[in-house]
Amino acid sequence: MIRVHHYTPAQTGGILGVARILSIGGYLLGGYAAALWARRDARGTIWVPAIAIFLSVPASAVFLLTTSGGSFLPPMQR
Amino acid sequence: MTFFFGMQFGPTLAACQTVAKVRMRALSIAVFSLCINLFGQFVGPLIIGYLNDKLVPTYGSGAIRYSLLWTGTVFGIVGVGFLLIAALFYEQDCRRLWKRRLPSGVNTYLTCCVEKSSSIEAAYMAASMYLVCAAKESVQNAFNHCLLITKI
Repeated sequence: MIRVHHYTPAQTGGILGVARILSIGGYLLGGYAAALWARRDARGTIWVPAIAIFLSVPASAVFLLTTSGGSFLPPMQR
Repeated sequence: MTFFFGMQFGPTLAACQTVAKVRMRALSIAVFSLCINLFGQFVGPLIIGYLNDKLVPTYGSGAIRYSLLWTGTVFGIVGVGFLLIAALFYEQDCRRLWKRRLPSGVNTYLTCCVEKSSSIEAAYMAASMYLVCAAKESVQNAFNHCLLITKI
Protein backbone atom coordinates (compact mmCIF):
# COMPACT_ATOMS: atom_id res chain seq x y z
CA MET A 1 0.00 0.00 0.00
CA ILE A 2 2.87 2.35 0.73
CA ARG A 3 4.77 1.44 -2.42
CA VAL A 4 1.90 1.18 -4.90
CA HIS A 5 -0.82 3.48 -3.54
CA HIS A 6 1.55 5.92 -1.82
CA TYR A 7 -0.20 5.82 1.54
CA THR A 8 1.55 7.03 4.66
CA PRO A 9 2.43 4.42 7.32
CA ALA A 10 -0.37 5.79 9.52
CA GLN A 11 -2.96 5.35 6.76
CA THR A 12 -1.68 1.88 6.01
CA GLY A 13 -1.93 0.98 9.69
CA GLY A 14 -5.49 2.32 9.81
CA ILE A 15 -6.57 0.29 6.79
CA LEU A 16 -4.97 -2.87 8.14
CA GLY A 17 -6.62 -2.24 11.49
CA VAL A 18 -10.04 -1.99 9.86
CA ALA A 19 -9.31 -5.18 7.90
CA ARG A 20 -8.35 -6.98 11.12
CA ILE A 21 -11.54 -5.87 12.83
CA LEU A 22 -13.56 -7.15 9.87
CA SER A 23 -11.76 -10.48 10.14
CA ILE A 24 -13.34 -11.00 13.57
CA GLY A 25 -16.63 -11.48 11.73
CA GLY A 26 -14.90 -14.06 9.53
CA TYR A 27 -13.68 -16.06 12.54
CA LEU A 28 -17.13 -16.09 14.09
CA LEU A 29 -18.98 -16.81 10.86
CA GLY A 30 -16.54 -19.59 9.91
CA GLY A 31 -16.97 -21.32 13.25
CA TYR A 32 -20.74 -20.93 13.21
CA ALA A 33 -21.08 -22.13 9.61
CA ALA A 34 -18.86 -25.15 10.26
CA ALA A 35 -20.82 -26.11 13.38
CA LEU A 36 -24.10 -25.74 11.51
CA TRP A 37 -22.90 -27.76 8.51
CA ALA A 38 -21.32 -30.46 10.70
CA ARG A 39 -24.74 -31.24 12.17
CA ARG A 40 -25.80 -32.68 8.82
CA ASP A 41 -22.43 -33.76 7.49
CA ALA A 42 -19.29 -34.16 9.61
CA ARG A 43 -17.21 -33.05 6.63
CA GLY A 44 -18.72 -29.57 6.96
CA THR A 45 -15.73 -28.83 9.18
CA ILE A 46 -13.54 -29.34 6.12
CA TRP A 47 -15.82 -27.80 3.48
CA VAL A 48 -16.06 -24.42 5.22
CA PRO A 49 -12.28 -23.75 5.23
CA ALA A 50 -12.04 -25.05 1.65
CA ILE A 51 -14.72 -22.60 0.49
CA ALA A 52 -13.21 -19.76 2.54
CA ILE A 53 -9.76 -20.26 1.02
CA PHE A 54 -11.27 -20.57 -2.44
CA LEU A 55 -13.12 -17.26 -1.97
CA SER A 56 -10.05 -15.57 -0.54
CA VAL A 57 -8.22 -16.00 -3.86
CA PRO A 58 -10.44 -13.59 -5.88
CA ALA A 59 -10.68 -11.30 -2.82
CA SER A 60 -6.87 -11.15 -2.74
CA ALA A 61 -6.84 -10.44 -6.48
CA VAL A 62 -9.23 -7.50 -6.03
CA PHE A 63 -7.19 -6.18 -3.11
CA LEU A 64 -3.87 -6.47 -4.89
CA LEU A 65 -4.87 -5.38 -8.38
CA THR A 66 -7.18 -2.49 -7.58
CA THR A 67 -5.97 0.82 -8.98
CA SER A 68 -8.41 2.97 -7.01
CA GLY A 69 -6.66 2.18 -3.73
CA GLY A 70 -8.95 2.35 -0.76
CA SER A 71 -11.99 3.62 -2.66
CA PHE A 72 -14.06 0.87 -1.04
CA LEU A 73 -12.86 1.83 2.43
CA PRO A 74 -14.09 4.67 4.65
CA PRO A 75 -12.73 8.06 3.48
CA MET A 76 -9.39 8.94 5.04
CA GLN A 77 -7.28 12.07 4.96
CA ARG A 78 -4.54 11.61 2.39
CA MET B 1 -9.66 -10.83 2.20
CA THR B 2 -8.88 -11.11 5.92
CA PHE B 3 -12.54 -11.98 6.45
CA PHE B 4 -12.15 -15.15 4.37
CA PHE B 5 -8.76 -15.94 5.92
CA GLY B 6 -10.38 -15.75 9.33
CA MET B 7 -13.21 -18.05 8.29
CA GLN B 8 -10.96 -21.04 7.74
CA PHE B 9 -9.06 -20.90 11.01
CA GLY B 10 -11.60 -22.16 13.55
CA PRO B 11 -12.98 -25.10 11.55
CA THR B 12 -9.47 -26.25 10.59
CA LEU B 13 -8.40 -26.34 14.24
CA ALA B 14 -11.63 -28.15 15.13
CA ALA B 15 -10.97 -30.75 12.42
CA CYS B 16 -7.44 -31.31 13.78
CA GLN B 17 -8.83 -31.86 17.26
CA THR B 18 -11.60 -34.17 16.06
CA VAL B 19 -9.34 -36.64 14.27
CA ALA B 20 -6.67 -36.67 17.00
CA LYS B 21 -6.68 -39.06 19.92
CA VAL B 22 -7.48 -37.35 23.23
CA ARG B 23 -3.94 -37.72 24.52
CA MET B 24 -2.54 -36.35 21.23
CA ARG B 25 -4.69 -33.23 20.88
CA ALA B 26 -1.98 -30.88 22.10
CA LEU B 27 0.48 -32.49 19.68
CA SER B 28 -1.94 -32.11 16.75
CA ILE B 29 -2.31 -28.37 17.41
CA ALA B 30 1.45 -28.04 17.91
CA VAL B 31 2.13 -29.67 14.53
CA PHE B 32 -0.55 -27.53 12.90
CA SER B 33 0.97 -24.32 14.33
CA LEU B 34 4.45 -25.47 13.33
CA CYS B 35 3.32 -26.01 9.72
CA ILE B 36 1.56 -22.62 9.60
CA ASN B 37 4.64 -20.82 10.88
CA LEU B 38 7.13 -22.85 8.88
CA PHE B 39 5.36 -22.31 5.56
CA GLY B 40 3.68 -18.99 6.33
CA GLN B 41 6.54 -17.17 8.00
CA PHE B 42 9.54 -18.83 6.38
CA VAL B 43 8.80 -20.30 2.95
CA GLY B 44 6.11 -17.76 1.97
CA PRO B 45 8.17 -14.57 2.35
CA LEU B 46 11.13 -16.32 0.74
CA ILE B 47 9.13 -17.17 -2.39
CA ILE B 48 7.47 -13.74 -2.52
CA GLY B 49 10.85 -12.02 -2.19
CA TYR B 50 12.38 -14.22 -4.89
CA LEU B 51 9.46 -13.62 -7.26
CA ASN B 52 9.54 -9.90 -6.54
CA ASP B 53 13.20 -9.68 -7.47
CA LYS B 54 12.48 -11.53 -10.72
CA LEU B 55 9.45 -9.36 -11.61
CA VAL B 56 10.89 -5.93 -10.80
CA PRO B 57 12.50 -5.50 -14.27
CA THR B 58 9.10 -6.10 -15.90
CA TYR B 59 6.62 -4.44 -13.56
CA GLY B 60 8.75 -1.96 -11.63
CA SER B 61 7.37 -0.94 -8.24
CA GLY B 62 4.11 -2.80 -9.00
CA ALA B 63 5.94 -6.15 -9.01
CA ILE B 64 5.07 -6.72 -5.35
CA ARG B 65 1.39 -6.95 -6.35
CA TYR B 66 2.01 -9.79 -8.79
CA SER B 67 4.43 -11.69 -6.58
CA LEU B 68 1.89 -11.59 -3.73
CA LEU B 69 -0.95 -12.50 -6.07
CA TRP B 70 0.79 -15.44 -7.73
CA THR B 71 2.01 -16.88 -4.45
CA GLY B 72 -1.39 -16.43 -2.80
CA THR B 73 -3.27 -17.94 -5.73
CA VAL B 74 -0.99 -20.96 -6.16
CA PHE B 75 -0.83 -21.79 -2.45
CA GLY B 76 -4.57 -21.08 -2.08
CA ILE B 77 -5.44 -23.59 -4.79
CA VAL B 78 -2.98 -26.13 -3.36
CA GLY B 79 -4.56 -25.60 0.07
CA VAL B 80 -8.06 -26.20 -1.28
CA GLY B 81 -6.76 -29.37 -2.96
CA PHE B 82 -5.35 -30.65 0.34
CA LEU B 83 -8.63 -29.88 2.10
CA LEU B 84 -10.58 -31.80 -0.56
CA ILE B 85 -8.28 -34.78 -0.04
CA ALA B 86 -8.80 -34.44 3.72
CA ALA B 87 -12.58 -34.39 3.20
CA LEU B 88 -12.37 -37.80 1.50
CA PHE B 89 -10.93 -39.43 4.63
CA TYR B 90 -12.34 -37.23 7.38
CA GLU B 91 -15.51 -39.14 8.18
CA GLN B 92 -13.70 -42.46 8.00
CA ASP B 93 -11.03 -41.18 10.42
CA CYS B 94 -13.68 -39.87 12.83
CA ARG B 95 -15.45 -43.21 12.81
CA ARG B 96 -12.24 -45.16 13.36
CA LEU B 97 -11.27 -42.95 16.27
CA TRP B 98 -14.63 -43.29 17.93
CA LYS B 99 -14.53 -47.03 17.53
CA ARG B 100 -11.25 -47.10 19.43
CA ARG B 101 -12.69 -44.99 22.23
CA LEU B 102 -15.76 -47.15 22.74
CA PRO B 103 -15.98 -50.58 24.36
CA SER B 104 -16.17 -53.42 21.85
CA GLY B 105 -19.88 -54.15 22.49
CA VAL B 106 -20.91 -50.64 21.51
CA ASN B 107 -19.15 -50.69 18.15
CA THR B 108 -21.82 -52.81 16.51
CA TYR B 109 -24.47 -50.49 17.84
CA LEU B 110 -22.58 -47.42 16.60
CA THR B 111 -22.37 -48.89 13.10
CA CYS B 112 -26.14 -49.49 13.18
CA CYS B 113 -26.71 -45.88 14.25
CA VAL B 114 -24.63 -44.56 11.38
CA GLU B 115 -26.43 -46.71 8.84
CA LYS B 116 -29.86 -45.90 10.23
CA SER B 117 -29.63 -42.19 10.84
CA SER B 118 -27.03 -41.41 8.16
CA SER B 119 -25.78 -38.77 10.58
CA ILE B 120 -22.49 -39.52 12.23
CA GLU B 121 -23.04 -36.68 14.71
CA ALA B 122 -26.23 -38.30 16.01
CA ALA B 123 -24.38 -41.57 16.34
CA TYR B 124 -21.58 -39.94 18.31
CA MET B 125 -24.08 -38.32 20.61
CA ALA B 126 -25.84 -41.61 21.12
CA ALA B 127 -22.59 -43.42 21.79
CA SER B 128 -21.51 -40.77 24.30
CA MET B 129 -24.83 -41.04 26.05
CA TYR B 130 -24.44 -44.82 26.07
CA LEU B 131 -21.17 -44.52 27.97
CA VAL B 132 -22.64 -42.06 30.47
CA CYS B 133 -25.74 -44.17 31.06
CA ALA B 134 -23.90 -47.47 31.17
CA ALA B 135 -21.82 -46.17 34.05
CA LYS B 136 -24.92 -45.42 36.11
CA GLU B 137 -27.71 -47.63 34.86
CA SER B 138 -28.26 -51.03 33.35
CA VAL B 139 -27.14 -51.77 29.82
CA GLN B 140 -30.76 -52.11 28.67
CA ASN B 141 -31.63 -48.62 29.89
CA ALA B 142 -28.55 -47.20 28.22
CA PHE B 143 -29.55 -48.89 24.98
CA ASN B 144 -33.04 -47.37 25.20
CA HIS B 145 -31.56 -43.91 25.74
CA CYS B 146 -29.44 -44.37 22.64
CA LEU B 147 -32.44 -45.41 20.57
CA LEU B 148 -34.35 -42.35 21.73
CA ILE B 149 -31.51 -39.96 20.84
CA THR B 150 -30.94 -41.51 17.43
CA LYS B 151 -34.63 -41.15 16.58
CA ILE B 152 -34.48 -37.44 17.50
